[in-house]
Amino acid sequence: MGEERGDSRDPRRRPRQEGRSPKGGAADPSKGHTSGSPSQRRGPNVLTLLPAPGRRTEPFHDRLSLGPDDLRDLYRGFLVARGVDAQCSSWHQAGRIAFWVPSSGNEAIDFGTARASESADWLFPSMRHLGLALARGITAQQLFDAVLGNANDPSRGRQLPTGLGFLERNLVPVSSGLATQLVHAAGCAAAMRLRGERSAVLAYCGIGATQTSDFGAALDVARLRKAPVVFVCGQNPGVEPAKPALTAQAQARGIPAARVDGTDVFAMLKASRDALARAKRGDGASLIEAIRPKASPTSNGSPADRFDPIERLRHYVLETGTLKEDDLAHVEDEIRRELEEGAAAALETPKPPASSRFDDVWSEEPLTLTEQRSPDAPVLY
Amino acid sequence: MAMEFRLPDIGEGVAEGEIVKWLVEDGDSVQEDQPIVEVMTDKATVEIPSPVTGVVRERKHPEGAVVPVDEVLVVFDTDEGASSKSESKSKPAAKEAPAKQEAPAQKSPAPAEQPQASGDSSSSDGSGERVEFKLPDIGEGVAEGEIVKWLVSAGDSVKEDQPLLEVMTDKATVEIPSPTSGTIEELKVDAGQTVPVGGVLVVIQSGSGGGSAKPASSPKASSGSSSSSAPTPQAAPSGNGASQTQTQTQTVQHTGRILAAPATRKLAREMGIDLQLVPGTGPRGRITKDDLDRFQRRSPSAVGHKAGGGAQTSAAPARPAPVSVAAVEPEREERVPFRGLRRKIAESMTRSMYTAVHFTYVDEVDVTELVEARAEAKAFAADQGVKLTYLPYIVKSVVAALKKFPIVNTSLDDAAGELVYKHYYHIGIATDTPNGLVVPVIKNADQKSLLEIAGEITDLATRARDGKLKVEELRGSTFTITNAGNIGGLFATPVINHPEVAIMGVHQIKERPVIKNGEIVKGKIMYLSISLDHRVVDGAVGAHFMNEVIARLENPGRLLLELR
Amino acid sequence: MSNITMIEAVRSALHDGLQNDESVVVFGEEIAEYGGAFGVTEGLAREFGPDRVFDLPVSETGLIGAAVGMAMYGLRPVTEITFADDLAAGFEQITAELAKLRYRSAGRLTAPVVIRAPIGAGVCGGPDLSQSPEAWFAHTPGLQVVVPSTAADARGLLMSALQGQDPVLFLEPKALYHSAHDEVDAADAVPIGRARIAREGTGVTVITYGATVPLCLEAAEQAKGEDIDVEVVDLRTLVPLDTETLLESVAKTGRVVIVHEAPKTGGFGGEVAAVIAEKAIEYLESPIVRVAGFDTPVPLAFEDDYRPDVGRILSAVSRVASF
Repeated sequence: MGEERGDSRDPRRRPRQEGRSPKGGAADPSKGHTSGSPSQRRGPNVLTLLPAPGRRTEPFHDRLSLGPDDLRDLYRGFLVARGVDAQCSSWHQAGRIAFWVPSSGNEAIDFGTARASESADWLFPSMRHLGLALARGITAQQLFDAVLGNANDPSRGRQLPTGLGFLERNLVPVSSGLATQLVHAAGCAAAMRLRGERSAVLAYCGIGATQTSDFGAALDVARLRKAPVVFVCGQNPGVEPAKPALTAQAQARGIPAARVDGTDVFAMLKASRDALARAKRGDGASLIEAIRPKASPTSNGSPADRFDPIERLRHYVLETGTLKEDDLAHVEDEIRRELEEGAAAALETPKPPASSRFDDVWSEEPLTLTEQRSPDAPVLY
Repeated sequence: MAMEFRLPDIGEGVAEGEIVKWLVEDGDSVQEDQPIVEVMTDKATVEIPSPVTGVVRERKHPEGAVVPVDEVLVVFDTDEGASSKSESKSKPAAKEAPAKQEAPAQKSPAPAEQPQASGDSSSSDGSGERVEFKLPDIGEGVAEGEIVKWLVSAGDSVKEDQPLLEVMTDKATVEIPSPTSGTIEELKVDAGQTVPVGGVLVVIQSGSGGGSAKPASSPKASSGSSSSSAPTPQAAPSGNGASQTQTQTQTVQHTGRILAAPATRKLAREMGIDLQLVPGTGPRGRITKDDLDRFQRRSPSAVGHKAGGGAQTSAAPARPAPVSVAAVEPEREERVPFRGLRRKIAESMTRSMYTAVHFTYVDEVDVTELVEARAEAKAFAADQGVKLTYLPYIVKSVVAALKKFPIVNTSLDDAAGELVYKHYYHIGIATDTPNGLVVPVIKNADQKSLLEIAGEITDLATRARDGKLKVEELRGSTFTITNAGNIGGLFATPVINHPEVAIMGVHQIKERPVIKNGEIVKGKIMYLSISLDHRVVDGAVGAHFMNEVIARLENPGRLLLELR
Repeated sequence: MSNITMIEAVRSALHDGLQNDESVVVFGEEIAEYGGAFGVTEGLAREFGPDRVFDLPVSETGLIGAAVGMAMYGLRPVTEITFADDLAAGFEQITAELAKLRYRSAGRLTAPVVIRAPIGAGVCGGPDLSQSPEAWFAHTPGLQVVVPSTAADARGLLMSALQGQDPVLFLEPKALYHSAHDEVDAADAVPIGRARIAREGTGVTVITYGATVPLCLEAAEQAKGEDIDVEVVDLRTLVPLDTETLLESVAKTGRVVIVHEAPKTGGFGGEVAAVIAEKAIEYLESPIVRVAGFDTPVPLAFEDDYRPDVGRILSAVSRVASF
């Protein structure tokens, strides 16, 4: 299998898998927040549904309205996301792209939240969430185009490789501000509400971004305008959970919050559905803190010691017999070709026309800029 | 001792002269007023006399060289007595040159009445010192200055370094700063007057402003030490802050960068003027647009070719860029310097063509009666020693027509945007000479008889051919007649003698068939052409003007009726 | 519309915007009930209700960020920043997000946000509340920067801002809030990007904007006493800059004084001077002279000395005229 070969493009490449898994059982997703033994090591009140790797479970995906094809799709999407990320990291190491921040490990967050949303809902991602685009139907090649900034890049080669955005899928382009997009999300949601539309907004950030003034402002705007927005704060690799707990911070600002196992796609899906439903009911904003549980109580908390969302899903489908090894191998072959072809095609696509770099600054181009288009423009009045 | 003699300013508007011939050689002894060199300007060829008695040490230029006014022509060794006499370079040196060196009215206080040292002061009361401030030596070779404008009045408080007045020298216009703080007691000269260096300009009661003299500010103008307290600046005129204190000195010689505002540089480019050659009169020697105008008037030959494009304020028109002509068969071609009178003619023709909008009107004149009248008078004139041609009749007819149409007797002052009507009638007669065309002028032709005019024409033409005309005889025409009649042709289209607005061409009288009372008869016919500057004169006016001339030439008796 | 002050002119433009375009929303810090620090929005909340006119938290990044998000979804947000000095607290949202939104989305997202902020000295705001930070934003591609100097322009330019497709920094000179009052024609929108010849003249061009416009007009009157015929160009919009109008004036006079209240170094006057030097140098008869606020924070006790006054302007005009 791929992980044994250590191929950097292996779609399932992931942090080294940890040894023993903690014990735990299947939870009843209908119960919402869980506590008790399976989640003890993931901190208190962390919603977890999938069993830890190695734990037995009965199938319960139907209770989340997921069929075997959905699970195959999720697995497939996870692998594509991981593969695109691996390819981009490789391009970064090779100097082909100037900047890259990996998305690996956030597949459950991306696919769980995105699948909970409707297409009219807007997503305001941060970096590290390229899976959202895939979950919204964007192909690996489209992502490669955008990362490379070629002629097919929707930003026409202007954005950082991580500045992904696909507005045709209501996916807003990412800027490098840590939490600026959270305020936009709150404003956008407030506009949805003002316009009387039953849509909502999902906004993403890392734990670090919650220390910015934008984070507080976003929550305040959302609360005051009863904005239908769900803030999803992911615990990035190497980052400890927020202290005081993010849920406490949000609740102090009047925003309900839940802690969810961010490596558990079922839990993310469930929590997101709940939060979006609440938002669309008109009850306002809420926050999901997506944590990355430690794999072992004895581990020192390094990224590699965390659960991996792909392993979690793979274990569930095999353990419950929903999918067979052959099914998964077939998926893996399929996506490997998709990644290779997508990368090759994106590399062959030329840059956007140079003149386009002057476009789209203002609605009407000022004379001062028009002159800059042509270095030979007459200087004198 | 050595004495440098520079090419004097031999006439208004003359900026340079070509050395035609040296009349002395290095080592020759010369007497004062002895001619030493023949110099040709655009106006005339003049002999320049020696300003001193002494020995020619070195002639600085070869024959054929073109020398700007003020450039050293020759160096003399003189004895002491002669040298002192020749030091003032403002003194006209060329006696024969009819230069317009009207001696400036020296109304300034006689130096003898004044204390000799600049800035002499005497206490008149206890509060301060009375400082007589004299025109300082503001530049090499400057002997006097004209007061352009006073910037202060009697009774004004002034600060040290505050500009007091503007003085124009032959080098530049400069602001003269006050040597001290105090109160203006008396202005000793009026604007418009000329003051020699050392002449008292103003009396300042120093001290009330607490001014202490600043020696560096005006070496020869400081008031000496002052016991007054530290300066407490009086209020400067609003808006005239401290920025104007640096205007005292001015560079006459350009060293390093030339100072000129960008707009001035652009204008100079368009006028084809090399800024290196232009004396700047602005602060710190900056060249102003006025300097360019002045330079162009005084040194038209130094004004090259414009790159084109209209300067906004320039009266000078666009001219094509110089074109070089490649040698085709160099061994069978000869290159001769294009200069002297020929070049002057080229320049004035070019200026005329590129300035005036020419249109030419031609008509024929039946001069049968005129021929008879002239034939009758010819012998009488000959008795008086005068050769009577047709030209005097034409001159008188033209003068009469000019009186009817004063617009034809004007000049257009583009720069001022004014039309100058001349209430005098100076008729230029274009005359062919071995060196080229010159235009001697019959002054006040309206006041002269046919005979007088005839005599004058003969005299002028003769001296023109001999190159003996004076500059003043070549200046001031208000209308020009060019006579091509003695050579042939039907008619020509003459080029206006700018800045006049019209020129008349007179052509050959021939017997031609004319219809009179329904019959074809022989008539004496002459073609007249007139070129007019359409900017000033419209076609109809030109035609009417011509009709007035024709009416007199066809009925010469009319000229008698108009006699005064 | 009769003779109104600049405050009333701004309010009337907001009022008409709210009335004529349901996508317009107005918000800020205590601008609803309270009417804002200068009372500009007084009465709007009562008339248009809390969905259209409302308060948001005291956070400039919140106000501007929310405006960006609202604009993405098709609203026309107008947010009031209590003092232009406070724009600093929303700087990232303005310069990194608002200004770049159209560009980073390749034209698919627009942010027709209007940020209103009172600028300048004149009400004893000292170092914290009297700044003129327009140059920060003129230096940011994607923004429009507007500074009216009359009530009529304040109304007309704000009307245009509310109809445009670009984010607008609408900087209101608070010194003119009450002193500028005009007969204002209700219908007259003033196009953004067009300078105004506030006074015609042929001798010296004085280029200015905002609070210094009336001072320059007064200096121009006084310059008549020195026989200097001053033309005053009120830029009205810094970005996009109406180079055409200002160069035309410079070509006419050949002499330029640039006046603004913001500190001299790095001020917008430098940009104007550069444009002139670059494009019209051949017309210049004299150096371009700037009269500006000093390169210090605005000192409370010397606010009036900090601002260019008629004397300083006149002095520069005569220096340039007599050069």
